[in-house]
Amino acid sequence: MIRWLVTLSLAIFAGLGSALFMSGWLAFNPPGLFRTIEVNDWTSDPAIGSPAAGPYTRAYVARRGLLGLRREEAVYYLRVMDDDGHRLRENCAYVLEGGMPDARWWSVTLYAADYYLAQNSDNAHSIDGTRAMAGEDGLWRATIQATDPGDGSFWISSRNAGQFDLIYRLYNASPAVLETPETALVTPRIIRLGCTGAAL
Amino acid sequence: MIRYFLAFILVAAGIHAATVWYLPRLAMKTAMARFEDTGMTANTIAHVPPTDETSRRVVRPSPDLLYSVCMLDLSDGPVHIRAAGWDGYMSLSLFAANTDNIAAFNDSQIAGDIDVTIVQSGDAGVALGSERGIALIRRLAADDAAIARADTARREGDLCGEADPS
Repeated sequence: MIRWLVTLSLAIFAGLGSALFMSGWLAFNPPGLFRTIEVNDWTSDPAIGSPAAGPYTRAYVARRGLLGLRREEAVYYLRVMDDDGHRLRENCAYVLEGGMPDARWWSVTLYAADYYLAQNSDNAHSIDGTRAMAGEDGLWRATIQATDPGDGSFWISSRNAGQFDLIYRLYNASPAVLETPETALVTPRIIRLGCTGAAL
Repeated sequence: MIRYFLAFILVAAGIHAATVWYLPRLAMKTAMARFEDTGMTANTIAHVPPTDETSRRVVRPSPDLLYSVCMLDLSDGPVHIRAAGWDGYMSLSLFAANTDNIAAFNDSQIAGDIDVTIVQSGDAGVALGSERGIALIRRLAADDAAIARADTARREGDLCGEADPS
């Protein structure tokens, strides 16, 4: 009887734990678990929101992007590293720069590790296609850091964000962006300017 | 020993599959419970305040979109929802109880108001495939002036309620 109890207890623990881990529901799950599409370190899954999504994608999206739209309406790309491969974090400053993507509307939003907006009242959580201003080189830019740079640049605040990630939303993206994102998707760069305290 | 091993595999696989199946439904139930905690009721339109750092009912809200929500309960029949016209990006999207985005309609597909009748199954409207679900209206409103205009538009025109049986 003891052997059966131990066996069944271990089986329940293994089944539950493996399901939570493979669905991305555990706190120590790595960010960006699914990498079906990866374009310049921005990752996505074309099955988000779709009735054709597999059970793990559906469970993953439920935890990290509930009420996400199917790709015909919007696509979502996640970024957790800067261009040098270091984890995005509050104590570093970055320049986010990119061209205008082929979509009706786009935005880049900063989220804290709990998948919600960072707990600050700076009202500077994102940049989007209605506010981004392209420079003479055709690129828009924003500064990501914990304090207002005060230099006239567009600011996205990382105050109280800790380790954070960025979501790149593209609404009503062109067929080329949907079908061949590797070549058609314009992805923003994330250039680290410097860090305070423990850097890496 | 082999019987213990087989029992372990069978039970672990069953628990694993059941958990993966249930997690999306749990997420939807949790989201709806959080909506209900704010006073929202089924088949009634609710206008969510502009998104900020205190918005913590559904993960990854966009601060550039103004949301209105209708928690769907089709147990008493079809539900009709209207998203009033808006002079920018706007969509009405339907989510089943397992989180699937069953349908999405936007202002470039339908000019003016977007009117949709939602049924649990069949072809008398958009089939949700479940008794409960969520309808979500998104309006692009990235600054205070646009938020004010979008708020007026949604309060004057958005509707959600049981469909007229006629």
